Amino acid sequence: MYCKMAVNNVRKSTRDYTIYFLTLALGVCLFYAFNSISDQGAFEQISQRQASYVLVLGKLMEVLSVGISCVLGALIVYANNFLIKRRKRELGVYATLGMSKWRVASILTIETFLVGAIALVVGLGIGIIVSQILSTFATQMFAVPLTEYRFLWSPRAAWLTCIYFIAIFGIVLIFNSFVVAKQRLIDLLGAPRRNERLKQPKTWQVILVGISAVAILSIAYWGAMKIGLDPGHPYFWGPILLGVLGTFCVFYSLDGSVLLFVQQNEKRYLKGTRMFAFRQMYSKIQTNYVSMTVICLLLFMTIGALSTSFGFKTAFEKDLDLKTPFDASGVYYVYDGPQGIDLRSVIERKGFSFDAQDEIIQFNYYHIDTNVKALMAQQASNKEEQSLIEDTYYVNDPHIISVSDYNKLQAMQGKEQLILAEDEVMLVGQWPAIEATMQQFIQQSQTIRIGELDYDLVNAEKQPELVPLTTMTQMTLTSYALIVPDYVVHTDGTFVLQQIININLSSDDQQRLQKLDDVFLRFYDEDDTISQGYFYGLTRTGIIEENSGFTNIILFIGLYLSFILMIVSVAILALQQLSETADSLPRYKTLQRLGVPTKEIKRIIAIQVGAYFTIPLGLALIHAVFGVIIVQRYLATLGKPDILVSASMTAIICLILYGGYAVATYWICFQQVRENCGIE
Amino acid sequence: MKPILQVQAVEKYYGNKSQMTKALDVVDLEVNKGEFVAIMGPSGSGKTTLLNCLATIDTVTTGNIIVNERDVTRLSGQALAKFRRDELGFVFQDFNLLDTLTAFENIALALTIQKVPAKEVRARVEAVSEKLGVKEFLTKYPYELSGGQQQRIAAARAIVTNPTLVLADEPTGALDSQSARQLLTLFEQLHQELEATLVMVTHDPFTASYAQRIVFLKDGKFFTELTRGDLSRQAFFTRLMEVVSLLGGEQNVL
Repeated sequence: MYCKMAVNNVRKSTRDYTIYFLTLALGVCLFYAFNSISDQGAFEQISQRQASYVLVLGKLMEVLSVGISCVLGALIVYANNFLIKRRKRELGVYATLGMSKWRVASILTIETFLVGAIALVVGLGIGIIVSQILSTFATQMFAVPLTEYRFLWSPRAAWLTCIYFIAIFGIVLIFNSFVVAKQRLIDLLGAPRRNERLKQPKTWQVILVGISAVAILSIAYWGAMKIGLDPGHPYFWGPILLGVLGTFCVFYSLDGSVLLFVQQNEKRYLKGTRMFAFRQMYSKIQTNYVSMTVICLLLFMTIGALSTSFGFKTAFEKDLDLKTPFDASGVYYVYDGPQGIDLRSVIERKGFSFDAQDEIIQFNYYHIDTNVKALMAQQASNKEEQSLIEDTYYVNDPHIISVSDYNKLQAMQGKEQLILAEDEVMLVGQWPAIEATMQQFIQQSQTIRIGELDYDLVNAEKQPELVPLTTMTQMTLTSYALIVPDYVVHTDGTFVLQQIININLSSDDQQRLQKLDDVFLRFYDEDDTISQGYFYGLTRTGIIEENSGFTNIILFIGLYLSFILMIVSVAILALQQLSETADSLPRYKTLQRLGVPTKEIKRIIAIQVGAYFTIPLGLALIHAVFGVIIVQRYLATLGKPDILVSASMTAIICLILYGGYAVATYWICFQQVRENCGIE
Repeated sequence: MKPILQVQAVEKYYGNKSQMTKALDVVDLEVNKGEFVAIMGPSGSGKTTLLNCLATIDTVTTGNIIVNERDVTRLSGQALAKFRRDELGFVFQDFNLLDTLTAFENIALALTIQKVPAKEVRARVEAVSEKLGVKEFLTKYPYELSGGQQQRIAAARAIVTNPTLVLADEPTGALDSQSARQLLTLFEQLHQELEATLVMVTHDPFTASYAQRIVFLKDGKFFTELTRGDLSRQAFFTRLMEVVSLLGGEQNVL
C-alpha cells in the first residue's frame, strides 16, 4: 500500500521531480560514459606505448569516480531536502493520520528510489549512447585507426555505476529518516510563510562592501598574474583566498548596489513591473549570497578545467608536423661512454634492417663555454621564460652544431644551404618554450662570445625561426641550438655532448616505422645501453603517441570533472530558483489580480531565471579570463596553445548545458505559476 | 442614471453532468455609480463566487456582467488583464500586499502597471495615502505593519488608480474589531468623499452595516435586499440582524 502511495505521489509531482531526475540521469550517464572509455574494443589494436596510457586513464577514472559520487550524493541529499520542504504539508497530513515517522520516511525513500531507479535506467541508456560518441572521440584522440565500428558495452562501468548508485541511495535513506524524524508536526502543518526580514540596503554599507569587493578582486587578479601557476611560491594561495573573499563581497553587495542604483532614478524604477522584478531578485540574492559564491567558484573551476584541458591538448599537438621533420631520431647521451659510435649499426644490431634508400644522417651536438645563457637570462621577456632559463635544467647552454652538419640536415630536408663566415654564428630555436626571449635576444644582441672570441649573430635582423634539428626536440628538452663555423668544434675545451641520428625511411611505410619504434623501445626494456652512455630513440608516430597519451589523460579528466561540476552547480541554481518561485506563488497571484498580463508575468520569471543563471556565470567568466591567461602562460613553456579553439569549445559546452537547465527551470517555474494563478 | 455595474441572469455551475453544483442560480444585480453595496450570505451562498465573477477571476456559465457599458464576460486574455488593471480595485481578506515591496511601492505598482509616468506616480501615491492616513508608513515593509495598517495600504492601492469599481472580499476578516472599525470608517469616507463605487462581500453583519445597501444571497439565489436610506447605522444593523436570523432560521423550519 505504501508502495502504491509512493508511485502515485511520484506520478502527481512529476514536475517537482524534473530537475532531480534530470540531474541524476545526467550524473549516471556521465559516470558510465567516462568509466567505459578504456573498455573500447578498438584499443586492443593499439601499440604498447598507448596501451599503458589507456590503462592509466581507466584507473584514474575509477579513482576519480569515488570523489564524484560523493559530490553527486551531496547533490541528491540537497535536492531531496528541497523536495521535502516543498511537501511539508503533505507529510504533516500523513503524520496526523497516525503514520509513524519511519513510515513517512520510507514512503519518501521509495519515491526518491523510484525516481532514482528510472533515472538510473534512463541515464545508463543515454550513457551507452554518449559512450559511443565519447569512445569514438577517444579513439580519435589516441589516434587509433577505427577499422571497424564496434559497439561499446562495458559491463564493468555499468556494474560500477550501479554499485555507486546503491551506495548513494543508502546514504539518502539515512538522511531522509533523519530529516523527517527531526520535523515537528506543527511546523509541518503550519508551514507558515517565511517572513522575510528585508531591509532597505544601507547606502554607505553597500558602497563600502562594493568598493572593497572590486579592490579585493583587483588585488587578487594582479597577484595571480604576478605569481602565476607556481604552487611553490610563498604567496601562491594569497590571490586564491582573496579571490574567494572578493567573490563573496561581490554577491553580498551586488543586489543592494544595483537596487540603490536603479532607485536613484524614479523614472527608471517606477516603470511597469520593474520594481517588483528588482525586489524579487534583491530578496533572493540577499538570502542566497553564500550559495551564489559557491556556485560562481564551481563554475570558475569548470571553465578553468575545461579550457585548460583543451589548451593542454592543443599546446602539445600544435604544429606537430613542423616539430617532427624526420621520420625518426635517436640521441646518444655520451656521458662516460665511448665516443664516435656508429648509431646506425647500434640500431641494426637491435634488429632493424635499413635499406639502401633510407636516408640517415649522424651528427654531434658539442658543448663549448659561451655567454649565451647569461645574456638570455638578462633579457628574458617574461618571468616564466626567465625561470626556465635560469633555474631549470630545461635550457642549458646552447647545443652547438657545426655548419657543415647543419647543411647536411638542410639538404636532407631539401632546404637552402647556410653560408657562415669565420666569425659568424646563427641561433636556431628548437621548441617554443623560450620563443619570446629568443626573439628579443636576437633583436638586441649583435655579438656573442665563445671561449675567448666574439662572433656576430647573423640572424640579428631576422625573426627567429623554429628549425628543429631532430624529431624529438620536445622530448630531449633541447630549446635552442647554435650553428658555428666548423673549426670552432675542434678547438680546445670542446667536447661531444650528444650524438644524434636522423632517419628518413625510403617510403611512407607505417609498418617499418612501427618496427623501428619497437626496436627503439627495446633500448628501454633491455638494459644494454652502450656501456656507460645512453641511447634513446623515437619515431614520429612514437612522438604522437607519447604526446596524445599524456594530453588525452588530462583532457578526459578535465572533461569529466568539469561536466560534473557544471551539472552540480546548475542543478543547485535550478533548485534554488524553483523553491524561490514556489515561495513567490502568492505574489504572482496578487500581480495577476492587479491586472498584470500573462505575458508580463512570463517576462518577470524569464528575467529572474536569466539573471540568476547569468550573474554567477558572468563573474566566473571574468575570473576565468585571468585564470586562462595564467594557465596559458604556463602552458606556453610546453608549446603555444591555441586558445581560440579551446575557448570556443568550452563556450559551446557551457552554453548547451547551462542554457538547457535555464530553459527547463524557466519552463517549470512558469508552469508552477500558471497552475497556481489559473492562467489558461 | 445608468448603473455602473449590471449583473444579468448570471449562472455558475461546477462539476460535470452527473454531479452538478449550482453556485449561482440566476442572479441579477445593479449597482449605480457612487454606491456602497454589501453582499451577504452564509457560507455556500455563492457570494464569493459572485465576487470572483465580478473580479473576472472566475468565469460565468451563462449570463452577462456589464461594467461601464462593457460586457466583461466576453473579454479574454490581454483584454481581461487590461480591464482588471484599469477598471477594478481590489481589497482582499489577507491584504495580498507584496511582501518584497515597501508600502509605497505596493501602492505605486498599481499605477506603474497602468503605465502612469514616473513623475506622476509619487504625487498620486502621496495624495491618496494622505487621505487614508497611511503616509507615515510608506517606507515600511508589510511585515513591519499591523494588520489594520496593511489593509489600509491595500485600500490605498485599490483606489489610487481611480477605478470604476472597488471590490472587497471579506476585508475585515483578518482584522481585530478596532482595526475593522477603522477600515470600515475609511470605506464610508471613500464612498462619501471620493464617490467611489464599492462592492463588498462579507458574512459579518457588523461589517455589512456600514454599507448603503445590502444584497442577501442564499443557495446561489437572490434572497432579499435592504437599503439603509436615512436610518442610523444602529437601526440599520438591527434590521439587518432580523434578515440574518431569517436567513439562518429557515433551516429550522424543516
